[in-house]
Amino acid sequence: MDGDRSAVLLVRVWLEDGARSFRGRLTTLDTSAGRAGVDAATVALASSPRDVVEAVRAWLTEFLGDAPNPIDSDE
Amino acid sequence: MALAQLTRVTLLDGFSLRWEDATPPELPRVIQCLVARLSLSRCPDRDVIAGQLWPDVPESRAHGSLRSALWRLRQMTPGTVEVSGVALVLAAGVRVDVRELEAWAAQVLDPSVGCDDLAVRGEVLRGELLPGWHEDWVVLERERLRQLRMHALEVLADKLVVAGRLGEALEAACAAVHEEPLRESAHRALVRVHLAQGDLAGAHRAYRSFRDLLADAFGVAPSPSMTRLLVPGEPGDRTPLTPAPAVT
Repeated sequence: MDGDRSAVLLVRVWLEDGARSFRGRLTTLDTSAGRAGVDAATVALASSPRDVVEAVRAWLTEFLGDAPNPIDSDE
Repeated sequence: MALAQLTRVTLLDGFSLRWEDATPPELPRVIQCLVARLSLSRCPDRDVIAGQLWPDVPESRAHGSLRSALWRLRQMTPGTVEVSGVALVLAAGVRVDVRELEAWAAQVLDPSVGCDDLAVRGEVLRGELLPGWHEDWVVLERERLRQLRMHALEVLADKLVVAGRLGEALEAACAAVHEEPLRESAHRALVRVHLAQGDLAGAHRAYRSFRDLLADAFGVAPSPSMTRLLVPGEPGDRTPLTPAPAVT
């Protein structure tokens, strides 16, 4: 793994008035040197704690495995 | 007039520092970081500022780097910064677009403020904070501002509906939806605008569009707060408002 690689995973969750579960969007940002200007990309949408935890695990696995594949990215 | 009163810092859609009557020299990145940090600061303590701007070096070296950056900033843009003891702040007259956005949002979100003096200001619809900057304090502040703008746009849309300024209300609601397409409260604001316009077909169209989006994303139906906005069978409604089937 390239030691200079780094990334941010942002977990946004929100509650809607009257909804039974929360809603969440997990967004990643490649913060590696030289990657400035790369847009944030959604890696998962989640509405349960289990979904969120699974999405974090999958994201980390991809990051460590050098296989980024965000769902709304062309990469 | 003091130079600080002519200085404007822009952080939305990218960094710039401009004077009213002159163009300052291009600031090195480290100076841009210092100005941006001071522009966003709620904690003027220079220990904290040094730690945030140089998080990976020993404290003494971070303070040395801060002193150096501060000296260069004062050389390049005199009067921009005020130092008082351990406090480090932008000079009082320096204008910052983010602070103007926050002041606008505070007005919008204040229930006692009517909408006579409120409008969908251009900077509100502009892009994100310091795009391409990945420092932790920027990422967190970017998210905070995004949330603030989204809430304010939703509230503004409702206030403008009450005032009968429906075109601007539509603009605010659409901007809120654009900020987070899966946020139901933003879509509710949009539906309310359509209803206020008497555009029942548009309201139903907006509802169905969101319902389908929500079903695809989360496999859930809109909340009762959303469905209550519309009554099935009204003219223009060609699709029942039954929830989309849950995705399993």
